[in-house]
Amino acid sequence: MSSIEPFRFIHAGDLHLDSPVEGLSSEAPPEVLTLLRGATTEAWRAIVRTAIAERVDLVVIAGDVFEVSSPSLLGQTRFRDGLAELAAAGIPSFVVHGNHDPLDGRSWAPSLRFPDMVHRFGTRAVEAVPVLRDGREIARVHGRSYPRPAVTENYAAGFRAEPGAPFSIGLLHTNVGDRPGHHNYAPCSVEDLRAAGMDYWALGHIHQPGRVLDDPPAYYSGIPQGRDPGELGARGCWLVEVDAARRVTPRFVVTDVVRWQPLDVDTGDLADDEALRRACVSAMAAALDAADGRSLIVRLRLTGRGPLHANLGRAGYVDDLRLLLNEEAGATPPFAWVESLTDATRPDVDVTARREAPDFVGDFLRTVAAARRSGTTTDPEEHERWLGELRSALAPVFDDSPRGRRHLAEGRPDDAVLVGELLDEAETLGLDLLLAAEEDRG
Amino acid sequence: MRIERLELDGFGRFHDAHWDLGDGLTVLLGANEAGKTTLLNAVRALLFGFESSRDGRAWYPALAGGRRGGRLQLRTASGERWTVERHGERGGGGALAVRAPNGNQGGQETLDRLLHGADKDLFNNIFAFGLGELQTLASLSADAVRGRIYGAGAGLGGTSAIDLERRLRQQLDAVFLPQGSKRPLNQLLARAEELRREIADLAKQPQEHAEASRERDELRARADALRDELRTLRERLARLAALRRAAPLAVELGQLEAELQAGDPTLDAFPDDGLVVLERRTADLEQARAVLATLDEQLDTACRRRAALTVDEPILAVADELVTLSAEATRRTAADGRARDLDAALQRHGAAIAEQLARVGGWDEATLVALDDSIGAVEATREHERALSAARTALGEAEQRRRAAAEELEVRLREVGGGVEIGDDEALGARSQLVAAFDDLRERRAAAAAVAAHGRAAAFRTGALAGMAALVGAAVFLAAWLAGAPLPGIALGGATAALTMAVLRRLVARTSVPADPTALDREREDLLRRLGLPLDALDGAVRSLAEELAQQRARHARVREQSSALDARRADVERRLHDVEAAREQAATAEQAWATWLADHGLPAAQTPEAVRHVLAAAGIARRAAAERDAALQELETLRSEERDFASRADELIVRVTGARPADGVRRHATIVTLAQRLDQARADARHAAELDAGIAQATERRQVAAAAVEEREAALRAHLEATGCLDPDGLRRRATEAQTRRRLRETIRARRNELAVLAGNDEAVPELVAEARASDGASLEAAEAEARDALERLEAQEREANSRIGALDARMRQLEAAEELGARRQELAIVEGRAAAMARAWAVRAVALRLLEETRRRYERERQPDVVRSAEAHFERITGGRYPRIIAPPGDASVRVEMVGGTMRATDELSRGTSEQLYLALRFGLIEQFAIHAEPLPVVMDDILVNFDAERAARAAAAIRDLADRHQVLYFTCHAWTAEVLDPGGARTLALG
Repeated sequence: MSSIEPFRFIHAGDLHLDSPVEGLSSEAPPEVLTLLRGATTEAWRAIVRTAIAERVDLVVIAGDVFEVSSPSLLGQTRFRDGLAELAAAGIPSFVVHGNHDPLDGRSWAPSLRFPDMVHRFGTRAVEAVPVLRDGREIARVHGRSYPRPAVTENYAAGFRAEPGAPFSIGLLHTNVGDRPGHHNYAPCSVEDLRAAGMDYWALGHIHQPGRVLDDPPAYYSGIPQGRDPGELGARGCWLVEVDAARRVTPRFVVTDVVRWQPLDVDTGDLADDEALRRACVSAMAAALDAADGRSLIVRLRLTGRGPLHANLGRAGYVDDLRLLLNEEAGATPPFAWVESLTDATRPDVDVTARREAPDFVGDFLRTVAAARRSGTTTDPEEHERWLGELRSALAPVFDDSPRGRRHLAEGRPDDAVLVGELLDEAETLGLDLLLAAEEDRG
Repeated sequence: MRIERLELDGFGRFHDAHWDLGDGLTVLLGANEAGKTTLLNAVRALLFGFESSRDGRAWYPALAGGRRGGRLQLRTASGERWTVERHGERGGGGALAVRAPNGNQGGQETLDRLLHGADKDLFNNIFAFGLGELQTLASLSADAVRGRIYGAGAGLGGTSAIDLERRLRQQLDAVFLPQGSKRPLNQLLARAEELRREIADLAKQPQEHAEASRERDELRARADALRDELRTLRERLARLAALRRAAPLAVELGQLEAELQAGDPTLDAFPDDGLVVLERRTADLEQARAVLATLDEQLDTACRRRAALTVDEPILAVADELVTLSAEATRRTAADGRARDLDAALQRHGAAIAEQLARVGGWDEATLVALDDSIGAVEATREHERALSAARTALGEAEQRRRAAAEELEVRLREVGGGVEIGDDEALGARSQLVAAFDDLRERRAAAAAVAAHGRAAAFRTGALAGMAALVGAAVFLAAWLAGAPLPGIALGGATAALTMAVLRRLVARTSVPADPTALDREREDLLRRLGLPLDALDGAVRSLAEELAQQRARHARVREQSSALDARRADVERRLHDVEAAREQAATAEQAWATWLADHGLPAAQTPEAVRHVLAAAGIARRAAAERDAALQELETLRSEERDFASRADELIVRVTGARPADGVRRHATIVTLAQRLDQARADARHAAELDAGIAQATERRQVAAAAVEEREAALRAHLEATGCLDPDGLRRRATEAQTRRRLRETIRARRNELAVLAGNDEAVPELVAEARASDGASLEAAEAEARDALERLEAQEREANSRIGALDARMRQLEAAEELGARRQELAIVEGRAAAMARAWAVRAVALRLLEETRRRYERERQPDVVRSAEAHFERITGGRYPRIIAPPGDASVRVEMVGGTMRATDELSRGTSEQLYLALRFGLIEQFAIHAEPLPVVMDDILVNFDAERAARAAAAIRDLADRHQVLYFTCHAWTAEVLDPGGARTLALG
């Protein structure tokens, strides 16, 4: 096989520009909110800066530039501005559209004109576009956009390397191998990827960056900026080097500006409020040190059994602690802002022993155990009885209220959660109340 | 717990009353209106607050006076004493003070804790009840009461499961209400609704942007078309305007061109500067002529002045002599003064010489001034003076020393006296030697005597020598040892000692010459003889002789010393005499030398050097005065000679010039001065005449040049006239005017053509424009122009409108492109929904916890109730004498049923009043006992509840009450003596009220 001209390109995707940061359970201060609001845009700017600084030969974007089918003009303008910046630096861009920004005529403002050096792939069939450098073709980019959000057709099967192409890049928004937890759009298998004869697959859709295949190299770029508590860790894009022998070396370039950070603080050995505060501050500082200069949105969870459990149950205590930690930390980037502080500590009692006791607390714990068992019972009547009981407890907010149905659908606990963690927390809460009553008696 | 003391400050009919209450049962017996129910309600009020005024039955104002309220003194099972004091004029809690045993004071919370959660409902229904409460089952089945009972039974103390449920329910309601709008979750959900609507609106922005873009593109196309139309129209308008302005120009141009055609074409050849050249050449000619005239005039004037000027030639002929004489005449005046000064000097110097001669006396001028008064001469006098003085001084001193020496000699001679006797020194010396020999002999004799005592003395010497040798040996040994040499050993020490001994012995041997005593005695006698002493003289006589001899020898020595001193003095006197002689010779030599010097210098002898110097000084002064006097005489002579010479020459000149000789020196001088003045004038005139002559010559040359110039310019003027074809300057001027007019005409034509070219756009288009302008008429042009202008304004307005709209659309699109609202709203919605989800989840946890607690409580009631009912069953069976052995009371169900012996079931409404009251009493007893299992027993207050019981059941009930009083304080109010009797047969525990 003849050698080709070495070149390099950026593989990005799932920009989800101007989309909101999800999952905030408390009101963020303006500084934090500003950073969060601009995070996806900043990540896109970082991609553009990297492309220009690294003098890449092209940039490919593997779909989902926007989060919703009707993205804000501001987001589109910023996307266009970034492409224009690349074009001004002589870097061509290649874009496919995914399930979040399909080319159904609604997701893109037709009035927003893109620079000449940008190629947006159509929806009818796979297109192949040559990439020229100094008049000579260095690569050929194949791609196909989604016409609508839900595409069930196997697009990958339509990709075929063309004879004479120096290097073939497949640009596709797809769920390879039907990964759970993701919409199975443009489904395909690794065999499909292998069969296409591409030299590199630039994939989008899965927000976790990573390699799908070694040969041919197939990578998900992931989301350049994590936007919810589920998207943890460093995020960015791939800077791909192609040598004369078509060997590919992708290097991950971090582009995010803020990260979600779950933190557990074990309160078991902590003696008092001050020790708890110090433990939290210390955990946050350690996380911030390890965050490579990025700001953190911290989800702090207090765990363990210890004397502090009773304090934590006091009304407003947890909220106060969260405010206190945020006040101390400040909001000058890089900051660590505590988005939520969850009390997952357990009372310092022997629950098993108490469950056996012939008293009201024992009755309560046995009731909870019965409810928990219903989640795994084979007796459908018992199962339904308890689930019905628990569902009906939640109904006023989640089912009976039309607004609740509309706005809390995603947070509505499913049956597993209901007989799982929700039940656990309810048990702790009930036990706390009963033990406090017991103490009162004493 | 029990009530130890009840005090009422004011309550109903009671005022300032108190009751001390014992443990166990206390029966309070009183007639109607004695205040039993009032007391019951007083206990309730003090523990739980006053009833509201609406319930008139339990209002109990302080009718008898005092402050409404009082206090309870309580004692707990553990023996602590608490005081509960409450006062209040209205319903409600009033002023409550709970004092702890340690003196601390608390409020309602403290009381609640003290009562273990028993609240008013519970207490009023279960622990302090009258017939009214007893007769209603509702009071038993009320949630609050049941909850308290089960709560107490559950070991939860004062906090019942019902409480917890209520608390949770309140918390849930505080977050969300199904129909609410103010609760935080309700608000968040409402805000989310609002945001969704706003987002839906904002999501239309891309569409608006697209529409704006489309409209803007259309407008841009329209604007482009309008611009083209406007350009065409503006061109048309410009053409019409050009035509309108070209029409008069075209007419004028035709006329001008005709006029040009009709003119003299030869004028075109007339040079442009013809007139200018004429005027310039005419002016040049005039100027040349004026110059010539001026020069003629100047020449004439100069010639006239020269003719009028005569020069004094005779005086100029003697000018040099005259100038010399004139200068000399001036000098002569000074010489006269000098002659007078010289005369005075002669007088002065003569007097000076006479003065010096008088000073020295006896001298004439010639001799005196001939003396040598040089510095050398004067110094020589000083030398002689010093030599003379030195010689005289030396002589005097020599004389003086001679006299002194002579005197000294005389003194010495007087000291020595008549001479010196000197003994026989030799004889004396011989005797002295004999004495010395005698001394020696004595020593030897002594030695000989010592040898006679040899043994002792030799032993001594040998011992001493041996000791010394040993000492030397030891010293040698010690030195060798100290030097670190190998130990020489005792042998070496011994050898050294032996050697030393030998040396010493030899020494001793030499000094001890063996002596013969006889010889010694002979020798002594000989010596005595020679000394002139008797032979038996003792050694002392010899010693006295020796001393005498020594004194004689000393005296001899002194005489010898004095004699030699006199000899020396005599020699000194002789030497001094010799010195005096020598000095005298020197003085005579000096005197002679001075005399010789005086003779050599022509000075009289016997003069002291000082006197000579005086004469020499006068000689110097006189000589210098004589010299100056001679010089003055000589100068005076010279002056007089010069004066004579001057007078001779001056007079000769004066005669030559004036013909007359001056009478005296004064006139000579005046004449010379006058002539000198005449010479000055003559010289000035001569100079002026020369200048005039030069001027005339120069002017004559310049006039020739000017005349040539005039001729040249006349020729030039003539040439110009010929060239322009004119006969004279006036003719030329007329022709020049005509040529100018024709030139202007051409310029006007060119200007018009230029204007037309501007209007036409270029030169080539002019003919077409002119032709078109000539062909059209003004009115139609104006009309067409007005029409085009209207159209232009209309189109411009349309263009402005389109551009303005395009600008507005651009701005709107930019605004839409930069609009953050949509993103911001979506973010806010995400946050609101996030917060709502978190809140809803917390709510869900509470809701599930509530549901679990409810379920637990229901189950507890279901499973635990039998304890209560069993306890009640025992009491009911006992009170009914075994007629009703069982009670069935399902939880949550208000209906209670009883089973009779034999299995017959009866509902409560099927029981007689008394039996049903006994059932409720039994149930209360069961509940009271269940409560007491987990909490401290509370006092039980009953108000005449046995009235509807028959005697048998009343007795059994009384027994049950007494049993209850074993564990609880029981206060039983009754107005029936039999009841008191049944309850407290002995009356020991009965208190009378009233």
